[in-house]
Amino acid sequence: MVPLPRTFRIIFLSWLTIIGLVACVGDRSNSVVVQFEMDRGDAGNAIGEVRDLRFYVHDVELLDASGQAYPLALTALAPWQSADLALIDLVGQQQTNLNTALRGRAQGEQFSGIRFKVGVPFTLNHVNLVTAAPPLDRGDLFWSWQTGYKFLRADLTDANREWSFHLGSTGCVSASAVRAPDQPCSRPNLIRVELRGFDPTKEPIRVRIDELFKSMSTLQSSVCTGDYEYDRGCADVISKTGLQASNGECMNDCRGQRLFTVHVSSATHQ
Amino acid sequence: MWSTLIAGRHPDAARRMRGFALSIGSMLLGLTIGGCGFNGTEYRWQLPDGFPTPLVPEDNPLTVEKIELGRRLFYDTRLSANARQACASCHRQEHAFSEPSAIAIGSTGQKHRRNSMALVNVAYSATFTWAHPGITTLERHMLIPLFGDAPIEMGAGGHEKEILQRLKVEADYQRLFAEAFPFQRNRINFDNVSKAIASFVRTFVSFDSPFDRYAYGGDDSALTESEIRGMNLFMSERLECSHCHSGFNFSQFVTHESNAPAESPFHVTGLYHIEAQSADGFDFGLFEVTSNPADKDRFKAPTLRNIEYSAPYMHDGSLATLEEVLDFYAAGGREITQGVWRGDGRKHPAKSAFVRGFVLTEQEKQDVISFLHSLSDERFVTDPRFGNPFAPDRARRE
Ligand code: HEC
Ligand code: HEC
Repeated sequence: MVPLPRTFRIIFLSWLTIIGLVACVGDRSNSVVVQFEMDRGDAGNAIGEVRDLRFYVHDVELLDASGQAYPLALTALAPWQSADLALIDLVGQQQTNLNTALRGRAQGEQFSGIRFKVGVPFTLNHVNLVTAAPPLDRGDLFWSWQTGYKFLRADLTDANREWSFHLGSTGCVSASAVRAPDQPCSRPNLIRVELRGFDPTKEPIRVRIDELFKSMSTLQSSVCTGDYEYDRGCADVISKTGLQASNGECMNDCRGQRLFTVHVSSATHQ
Repeated sequence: MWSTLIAGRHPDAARRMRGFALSIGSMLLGLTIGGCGFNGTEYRWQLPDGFPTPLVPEDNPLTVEKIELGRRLFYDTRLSANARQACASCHRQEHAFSEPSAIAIGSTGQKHRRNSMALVNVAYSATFTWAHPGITTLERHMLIPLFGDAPIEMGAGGHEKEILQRLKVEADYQRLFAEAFPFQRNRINFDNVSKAIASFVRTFVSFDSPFDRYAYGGDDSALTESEIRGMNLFMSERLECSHCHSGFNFSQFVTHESNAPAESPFHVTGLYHIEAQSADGFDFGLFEVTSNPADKDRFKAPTLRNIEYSAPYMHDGSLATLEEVLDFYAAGGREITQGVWRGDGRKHPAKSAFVRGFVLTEQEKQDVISFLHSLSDERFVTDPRFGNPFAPDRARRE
């Protein structure tokens, strides 16, 4: 065998070392997909058409049986995900527009729960829509620089009318609607969700449209899109999110939220 | 675009697609460089910093030569069968490419049921006309005014040869078509006519209003106090205007290079809700295309940029001024008490939840109107690049 020049050997050896390192340090994480599914529960046919059901998700952590949390590093996948934020769309238009899953990588193997926040973090929420990167480049999910994005948008119909619930931050102070606030909004309205007793990489998280529908259809006012505290159409809806309308914070870690559940509709929520 | 679309669902497929697209792309590039050579001068969009580039169909790349040809065709009345009407007859630059009459009248005098739409930033539109989910490219839309017979607009149907002959005999057109569509035989045809006009119309971009200077340019002095108050109202939960007239184009119907296909709902605003079971000639909007009863009276929310120039308003031009439009929304719809179209639009069962009605003080009303005027882009309605090429006298060939 012809001996290789010395420099070659060094390069070759260092390559081997790097590859070895990458193999043992870099790739402990596994690719993970967390599915969401719309659930009409027992309200079934009373809900006419669900025209829109979209929400932003961030700060996702998978939990194992011991309660250990493994952050889910979102894969940047335009137009639905950046490394910081994902947009889930359970209705879409013409079917092509659906995006029902979070995709990323996490360490750990056996999961039995998940934690995430519904909404857009303050630092990303008050941007210029025009230059916003996906998934924030959505005009119909944007209010203004001042109030930022609709964290969750649900538009439903029954036989007679349309109902809308749009959740986002309020109490945001700035010079005008198209100027961003310097200080966090007084009512952030970010929902914290924690679900246990299931493997989120194997079973879908159910989004309970029936819970929204029931609280909306009993009320006179058919929209709840901003004034969560005083709008009469909002009190019941907002209670389903686990948020307190008066300060936009979770009550008891939003444990009372009923929008996101696991298993079939009849199961009790966590 | 495709790869990102698919990526949302199948990352692997997307990766494969991208690889595939890349290799095809480089093959094509090789062919172009090696084989056919010059295909026209690529058009450079002049967009303010950060604004997304509109999507252009792959089979009609935007070139300076096509735009120049399209501009001539857009203003040329000989494109209609009786040589009386050009696109520009109904779409006039000084009115943001709409016209100051309630409904359009075609070249043969037939009445259109609808108001000529303003052509502002149409390159970003996801669908075309007041209510049609299926017309998604300008190229496809061009066929309607040219060949449509219900109503007849330019009436080219059945007169194709005659119209093309008019163009073929002119040295100017021979040259323009040759520059725009090199390496084609029989290049003076309707496919190329529509591609060229679509290319011209695609360049109608307007982002230079006082509002833009304030919002995107960061110039605090670009809007008056009243305009700022009006803008805040426009974007408020009380008025809800920006729920439907949303995003940088003040329309829900936006697509461009970097975003997903737009969600494209059509809305019932409560302009009509006829009591009669049937009414000859009544315009049911989206329903006429889909035949789905739930689509009755749904229309698209058009852009509000340059809205000051394009009175009268709504799909049938039935509201004369912006004040009337605002009163209409304040009332939560319109009741018509007489005639065959009578009925209470305010009680339309499918009316959008965002048209609830509101009360404004006189001052607030004035503020909202001022804001709407701040969406006017004077440069757009005077830009010579969009003007009549048959000048110097600027007279249309009518
Ligand atoms: C007789 C008047 C008339 C003529 C001529 C005419 N249009 Fe129109 N245009 C209209 C009307 C009316 C509409 C709305 C049609 C509808 O909603 O069904 C419209 C709609 C459009 C739209 C859709 C805009 C949008 O935002 O959806 C485009 C683009 C357009 N016209 C371009 C053209 C071009 C290009 C030509 C020439 C080939 C042309 N028009 C000729 C009256 C006219
Ligand atoms: C539910 C969605 C919706 C809301 C909310 C809404 N619009 Fe509209 N707007 C539309 C639709 C749809 C049309 C076209 C209706 C038609 O032609 O029948 C329209 C038309 C208009 C037009 C006429 C455009 C033209 O080119 O003729 C103006 C001006 C306008 N809206 C202003 C406003 C203002 C101001 C507000 C808030 C007070 C508002 N809109 C709220 C959906 C909406």
